[in-house]
Amino acid sequence: MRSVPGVVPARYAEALQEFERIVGKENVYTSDEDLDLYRDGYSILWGEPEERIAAGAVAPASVEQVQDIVRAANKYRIPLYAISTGRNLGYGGSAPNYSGSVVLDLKRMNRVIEVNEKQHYCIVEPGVSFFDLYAELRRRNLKLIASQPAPGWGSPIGNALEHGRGNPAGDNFRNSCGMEVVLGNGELLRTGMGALPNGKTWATYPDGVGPSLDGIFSQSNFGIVTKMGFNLFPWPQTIRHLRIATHNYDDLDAMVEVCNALQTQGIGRGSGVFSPLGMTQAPDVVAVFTRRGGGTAAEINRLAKAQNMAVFMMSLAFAGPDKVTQAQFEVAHEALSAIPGIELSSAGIPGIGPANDTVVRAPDDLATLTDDQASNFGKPSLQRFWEDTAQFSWDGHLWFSPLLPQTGEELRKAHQLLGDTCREMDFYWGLPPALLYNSAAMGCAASAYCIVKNFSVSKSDSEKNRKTREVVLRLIRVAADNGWSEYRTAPALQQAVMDTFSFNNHAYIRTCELIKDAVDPNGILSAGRYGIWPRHLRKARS
Amino acid sequence: MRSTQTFLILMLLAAPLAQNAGAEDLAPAHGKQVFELWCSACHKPLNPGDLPVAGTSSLQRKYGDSKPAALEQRTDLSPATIRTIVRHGIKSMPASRKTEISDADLDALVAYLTARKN
Repeated sequence: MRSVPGVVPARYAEALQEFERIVGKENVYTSDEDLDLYRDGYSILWGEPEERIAAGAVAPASVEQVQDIVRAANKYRIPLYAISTGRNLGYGGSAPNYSGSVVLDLKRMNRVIEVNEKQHYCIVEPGVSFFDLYAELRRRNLKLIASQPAPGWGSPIGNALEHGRGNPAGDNFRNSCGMEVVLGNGELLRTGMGALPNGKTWATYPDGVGPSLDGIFSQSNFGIVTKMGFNLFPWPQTIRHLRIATHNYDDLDAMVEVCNALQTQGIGRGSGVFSPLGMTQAPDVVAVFTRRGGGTAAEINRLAKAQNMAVFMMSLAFAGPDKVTQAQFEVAHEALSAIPGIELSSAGIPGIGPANDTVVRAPDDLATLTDDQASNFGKPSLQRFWEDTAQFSWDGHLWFSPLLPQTGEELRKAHQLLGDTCREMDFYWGLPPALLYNSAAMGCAASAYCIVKNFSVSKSDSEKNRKTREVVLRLIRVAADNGWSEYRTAPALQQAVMDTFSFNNHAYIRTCELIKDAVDPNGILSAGRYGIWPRHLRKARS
Repeated sequence: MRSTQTFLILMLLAAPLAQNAGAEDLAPAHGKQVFELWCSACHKPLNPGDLPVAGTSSLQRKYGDSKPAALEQRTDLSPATIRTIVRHGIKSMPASRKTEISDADLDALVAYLTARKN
């Protein structure tokens, strides 16, 4: 039996017996062999004393069992750490933030509670994965899409609570509606219209009356979400793509401006900025991006010409009835054609998008589509993991993902400053992609770019991991100094990011701590998550 | 791909049957379901034009033409190798918890992936 900080072994043993009484002995894990399965395989602290390690794990199958476990944890002062499917790789996986916590593994709570075909929503439990939800929609033969991120084994609830980004919704949290939460004292809360007994618009109207509480349960440790509603999207009749590219570094500003103008009118969605040139490993290109300064615009343009690769590429997707998408395509084509030097006739690139004249039509049977095409109709996959394993032979990855204003000027500035920070510490920057982080599908014009820079994680080279931590901590600081912040980060870095949210003497985290003390007075739940610590573990703020 | 609910029902059905003489025959069938649920997304066979996937593409890179890249086509996998990789992971492939792949599921998966053994 492992140890729990601040709890004598005999009391922990009593707590484990109580957990066994609640969920059955077979659903409580205490051996090293079983608990090693709860290590974060992508931890940047792998094998070091600071790696976050679980003291136990308990897997309930119902909300009543979750409540009983939380009450027992209060009684014995056992720190719990809730996970949904535990596949939040690169952001913690199934490991706790605070070593010595007992992981509350919600994977067995895997029911799709409701799917409403006519009003396009579902209500799920946290152990349901995107694969599970897709299978349920297919089993019912419903032509509906659940907004999904790249990894299909993730949980809609866990992903949304992390503000994960999905297709087609954008921010999956903003695509949610209504939640059920077990609070730190074991009490059960339903938000929005769920607070109305038998409320019929729990999963379709997000607010109820009074303050909207849902947001305080994202990226926090104020409660354990046991149910959540999500909007579903009908299969579009057609999907068209329009991709634009340039061999001129300075064209980015105009490309972004025109795409923004189109999107704020509801024409096209999902445009990010990719750099085929910046992602290539060609020696001439790597040599320039490795050099201090990362190359001038003129040098980059010469490289693009020599390599016959675009410096920047953006794409718009048009989804809906055939006549509508055809008209949107034509309007966008005309607007983008007006930018001097822009190329609109690029061929398809596997994994990024088809050729501009491709029209994907909703099929009778998804099996007739390629996986790439089927993803537009909600079929999840794990395809993106090939980059780590098959392309780079990495042990895992760590994301650095700052949000920026959606302008070309700001994106170029970020590439310069963040790139220089990496180059000063001998890390490669290149020109990593910037995804559009928005809720365009929900009619929200406000959006931001999110640079997605991945660093490799090693299971055998802790010195390399240490240097990676050091460079990412520097990047967090440089970003903050320029008004940018990550939207989400790994447990090892959450405190550092939260520390940069320092307006008015850290009023934000101080308010979070007030809430924490009120809803979880014994500090049982997920200590340390996003820098929110219970009172007894709080350190003096510098 | 079957739903988790169906998957659990099949597990419950498989448990009493495992005591009967035909258990060995049933295990690979259940193992195929485990494979499809937990493994195939990364280890499916790739056809020309398919996008690369983590497992099959990395094994293709590792073994070239000396071994099939798709796990279901291998005849040389040992039970110990399968168990070790499922429970410990390898490279970017993470370990699977027992709430995901139970010990009984793992037994069935081993039976399925070793059924073609030479």
